[in-house]
Amino acid sequence: MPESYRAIYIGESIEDGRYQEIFSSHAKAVNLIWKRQVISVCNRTICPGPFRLILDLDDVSHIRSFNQEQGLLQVNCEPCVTKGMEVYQVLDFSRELPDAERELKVADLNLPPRCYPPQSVGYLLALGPQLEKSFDGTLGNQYKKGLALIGCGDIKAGLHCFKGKGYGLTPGGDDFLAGFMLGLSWKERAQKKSLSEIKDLLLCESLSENYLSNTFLLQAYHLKPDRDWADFLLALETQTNPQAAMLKITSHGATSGYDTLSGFFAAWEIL
Amino acid sequence: MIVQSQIVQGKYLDSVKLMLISKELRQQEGILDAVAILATKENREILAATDMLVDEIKHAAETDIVIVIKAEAEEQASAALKKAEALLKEPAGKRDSSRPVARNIRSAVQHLKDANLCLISVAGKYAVKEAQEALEEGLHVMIFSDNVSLEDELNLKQQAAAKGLLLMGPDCGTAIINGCPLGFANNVPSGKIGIVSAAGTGLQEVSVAIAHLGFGISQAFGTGGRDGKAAIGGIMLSACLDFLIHDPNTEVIVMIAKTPDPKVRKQLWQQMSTSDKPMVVCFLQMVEHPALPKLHYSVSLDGCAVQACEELSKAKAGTLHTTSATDLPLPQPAGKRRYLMGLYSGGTLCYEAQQLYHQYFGDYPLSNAPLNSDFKSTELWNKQADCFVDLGSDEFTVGRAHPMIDYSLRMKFLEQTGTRADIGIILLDVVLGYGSHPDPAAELLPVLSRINKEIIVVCHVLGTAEDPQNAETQATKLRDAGAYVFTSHRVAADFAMRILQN
Repeated sequence: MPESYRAIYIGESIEDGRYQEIFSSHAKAVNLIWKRQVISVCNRTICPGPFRLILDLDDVSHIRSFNQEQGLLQVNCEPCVTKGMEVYQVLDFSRELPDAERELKVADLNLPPRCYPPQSVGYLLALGPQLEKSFDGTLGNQYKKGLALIGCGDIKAGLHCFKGKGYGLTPGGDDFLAGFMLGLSWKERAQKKSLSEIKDLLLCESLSENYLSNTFLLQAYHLKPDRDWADFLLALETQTNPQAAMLKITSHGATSGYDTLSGFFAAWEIL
Repeated sequence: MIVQSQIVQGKYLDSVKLMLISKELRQQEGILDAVAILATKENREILAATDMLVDEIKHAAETDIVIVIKAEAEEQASAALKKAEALLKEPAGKRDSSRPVARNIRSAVQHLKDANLCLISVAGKYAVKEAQEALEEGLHVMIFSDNVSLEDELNLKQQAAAKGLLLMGPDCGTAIINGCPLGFANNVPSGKIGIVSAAGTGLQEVSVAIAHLGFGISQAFGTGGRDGKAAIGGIMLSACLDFLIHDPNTEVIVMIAKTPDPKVRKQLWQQMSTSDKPMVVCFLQMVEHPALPKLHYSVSLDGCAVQACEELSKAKAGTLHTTSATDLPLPQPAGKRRYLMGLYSGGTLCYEAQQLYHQYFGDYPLSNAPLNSDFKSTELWNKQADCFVDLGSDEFTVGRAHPMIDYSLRMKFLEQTGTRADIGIILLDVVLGYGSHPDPAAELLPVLSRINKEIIVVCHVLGTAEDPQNAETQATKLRDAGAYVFTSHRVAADFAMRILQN
């Protein structure tokens, strides 16, 4: 346990209050339950986000509570140093894109299947049929069926082929749906398409007992991404090396970054 | 065929670990399929579809983790579950049974008995303990970490000196030991010039300049920027100097620092007077120095490199850059564009540029890392003044990588500066080498293309053609984008100052 805690970033959406009910915990992040979502207390390797408190620590797994009251922070009931701490404010993505920037070549960025790591949605989508009788094969075929259903306009049935399914603490399918939501939010903005009905349906059908998945989904719904995603969206908007920004996202979690990217590209390509 | 399962409760695991467990279990003998997943209703449906949903896990909670094994025989399934239990107890991370695992420095030394140097790169508050342990094990130490107190630094350096060991750092970003680059360092040839430096990018600039001139490095030691301060007393500047004086592979010695304390300087001059080897010293500003026959003093980093090469070859070392700044026609900033913005990733280069500015104009520019504390400013972005920003300073590196690696902040500032109507010149350094960004030009070009064309961009590329990024390729790309590119920082900064002077 460190002598004193020091905060590096705090997300703009974290409200005053005491957070002490643990949803999940490991070296990089402790997720504390808040309104069927989570507030994450993270180590310094995690990028800032609207619902994240980033501490100057390597391992946060011992953290059991976090308290914020009028700018004063406590971690495990001990004062947390906030000198030099930045408030992470999400870039304002609500402003309209200039006409010239609406035709973004997002599809060109999608990764070939060989680039997706095993157990990710992209990998299982590509290899599903070859692994038919195994867990991975069945999962991959589910994902594939889901994509086909969404492509045919049966969004509700399609998203249920992803929800809660797959590997990881936020199952790959949930990450895919969060990315899909982000893709819709971004497409809505970039192409001035009204996709609010689909977004509302996606939100309504996808919220679950997995509060971590809920958090990512709601952030995507409101287009309030973490910094790495915000950097990627900004790079897309300005066409300044989005590949480099994308690389940062692929380092999220085990396959989470890849899975959200798969969802983002799917939303862009299918709808 | 048999299916066995286990519910894991009261244990928090991360996704990486879960996936590694699934993967390793599938590699066990007789295992047909295996997963370690969250027991969501939907995942249980998939398990059911693959005949892996056994009774025990049908009623698991949505947030439970389940391990399910499908095997050819019962004993194989049981063995795999035992393996899973063992894997659950291991810390997350890659496991390679063929390589020894060391949990601390002491244990690492047991596995690697010939090791004599330990590089420490952990959060500053933990670095002291690790350095202490390394010294106790008889290792030389390089501390890459910053945020170590002066008191701890002094204590560690005194211990190291007493044991005849080197302690480079804290905040030592660069060293080249026995040809091995450590931290941020460039691919330079081996040779007869030894360097000791209390300035990281200073060491890079000089070693690269020496390489450009066709010479090489015997050893390059970093000491950390505070070694020359009175509180530390130049303990490691002195120890490294002593090493180089007695090193048979070193014929010329270079010392670089941001102007050490007078007492430290005096002690170093005295030590230099005991050696027959030529010494070239650069403290980045003119200071009084003794008239020793073998001592040469240079104010600039590239001057220091040229002098060292001349001492070694006993001949003129040539010029450092293919295009001399004086050969180039000076571009004119348009209209009311009268200010210079320096956006630096290398602290020593930012320091050298400010020195040069002072020489030209007798005044100091504003900076977050100023030569004169009266000119310190943290709000530099819209100041109607000449400004030099060291983006490697602590205030810019909290929560993000060093600007030599992560260009995002610099691009943001570059973009912002590029829209200002009063900026005439932007001065940049692009530091290449091991540890730095793999392709800075790819990051910079799109932003440079959007900068107002009336702004003159002057760029120093610090690197060699043998660096992973290839300095020549990087320079060509930047030049093609319209920047004035130089391979010597002094020449680049001088070019910018002359434009400003006009």
